[in-house]
Amino acid sequence: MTHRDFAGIVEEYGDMVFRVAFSTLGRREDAEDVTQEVLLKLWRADKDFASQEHMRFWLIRVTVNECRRAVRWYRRNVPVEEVPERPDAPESRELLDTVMALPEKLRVAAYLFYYEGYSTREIARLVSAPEATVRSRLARAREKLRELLKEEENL
Amino acid sequence: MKNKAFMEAFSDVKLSGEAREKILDAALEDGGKAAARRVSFRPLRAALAAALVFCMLTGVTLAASPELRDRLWGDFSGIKQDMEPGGENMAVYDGVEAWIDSALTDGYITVVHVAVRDTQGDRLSSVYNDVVASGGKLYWTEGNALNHCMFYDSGEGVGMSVCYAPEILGFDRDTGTLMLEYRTLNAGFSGGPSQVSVTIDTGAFGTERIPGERFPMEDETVIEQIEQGEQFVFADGSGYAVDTTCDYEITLDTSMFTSMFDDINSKTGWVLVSDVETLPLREGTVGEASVFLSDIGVTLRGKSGTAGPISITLRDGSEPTAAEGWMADEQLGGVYDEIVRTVCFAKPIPAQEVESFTVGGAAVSFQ
Repeated sequence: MTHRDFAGIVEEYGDMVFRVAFSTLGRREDAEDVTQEVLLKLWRADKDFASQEHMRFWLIRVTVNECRRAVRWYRRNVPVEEVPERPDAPESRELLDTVMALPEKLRVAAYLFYYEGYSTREIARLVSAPEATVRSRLARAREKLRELLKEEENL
Repeated sequence: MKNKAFMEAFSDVKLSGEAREKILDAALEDGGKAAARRVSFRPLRAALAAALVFCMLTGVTLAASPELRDRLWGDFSGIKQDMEPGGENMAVYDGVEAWIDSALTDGYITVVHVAVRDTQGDRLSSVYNDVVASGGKLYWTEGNALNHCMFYDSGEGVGMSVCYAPEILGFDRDTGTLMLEYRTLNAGFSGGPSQVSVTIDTGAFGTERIPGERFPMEDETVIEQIEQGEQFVFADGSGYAVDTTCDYEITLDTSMFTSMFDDINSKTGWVLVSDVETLPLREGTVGEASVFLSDIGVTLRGKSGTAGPISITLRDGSEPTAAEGWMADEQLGGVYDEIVRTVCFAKPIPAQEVESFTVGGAAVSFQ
């Protein structure tokens, strides 16, 4: 892979990787770090992908794993009192705030389903959880979102 | 909220131009390194195969331990076990050997190392290079995740415990071995487990556990692993369950999970059982707290005096706690009116060589 090829991949998939990381970690700077790590892994691996879809799948799966690693690092190295209670929203958008208020596992499942358009079966493979668990997470995400939106309406 | 609204919510979440530039610059800087890191696995496989033939001919056991473990985890001098592949602590499935390389406890902390080696291909190399998962999942080939976890019975009154979050210590290209570390903190107060069982399975739900004193079970009993909400629940076929987060028994209606019971009998993968070596403890006090120090970690118990940064100086003047990442894990808990703080070291620290130990600036006085 040439640097030019890599630049094209960063252009095409950078936002997607960043969004997956952001939807998991909820903090822009952490999501940027993970995005860099994931894309550099791709650069170093110099893999041959069967298709664009294969590469997209690979990128999301590596991102999910890198985020897990980041969460573990946080748990080990950052005192609880220094961890922000709520994620930073990059833009003060009500809708995004509401989505980001969901528990991490629910918002990642919802993001991959609604935004990236993956099926529950594909999400199960991406996050390595049983498909029934993914379906349950999506159902809970919808229910929780309804509650949150209702709360905001009543405010 | 439908997908249109979701699209709108995330439409402004984008990688900044600055971050994009940084990634491209890093790739340029990384160019040489990337080439150096790319290793052709085939010659290594050939070397491994040759080594295996040599071992078969000479009767020498090809082992990852203790050198590999020392390299990946740190100096095991004085505490290492001489476990080798083979026997009860090893299982082979689908051309992959897995064995418990080391199982240590000091009564409060249990650390188990599992080595996994592919004898038929380079699947582990791919795992390590491409997608190394954490949080209890190890990806195998494309789209196929393996569950792996450690069970043990920590004695009467405590019951079965489980560790879901192994750490992948590293991949040793010379021997084609992946080394995993499982650890638990505040395992119990009855001397630690005498035996552990590690399962790595592809069936996701079917697994076994070692019989415990509190929940004696037949060898063939199958336990179900179900993620219910944010909790893991183990249930046997009779609808009896143990909530591992609370350590109490609950009755579970298994009909709720019928869709998840498809693989109940597909026990494919590895089940590894090993005795655990108990490490000696150096006991001391700091303020009103008791201190229990071993090579793998330290536990502080007391109504007070357990808080604050830990500093350790060895007889040779070195300060292992000054190094970044010296702590692998820390857990705070309470038993009755006591605070229990357990710290697991990232690498072993020789307890007998500790000359000075302070907690929050106060010196620990050893017996």
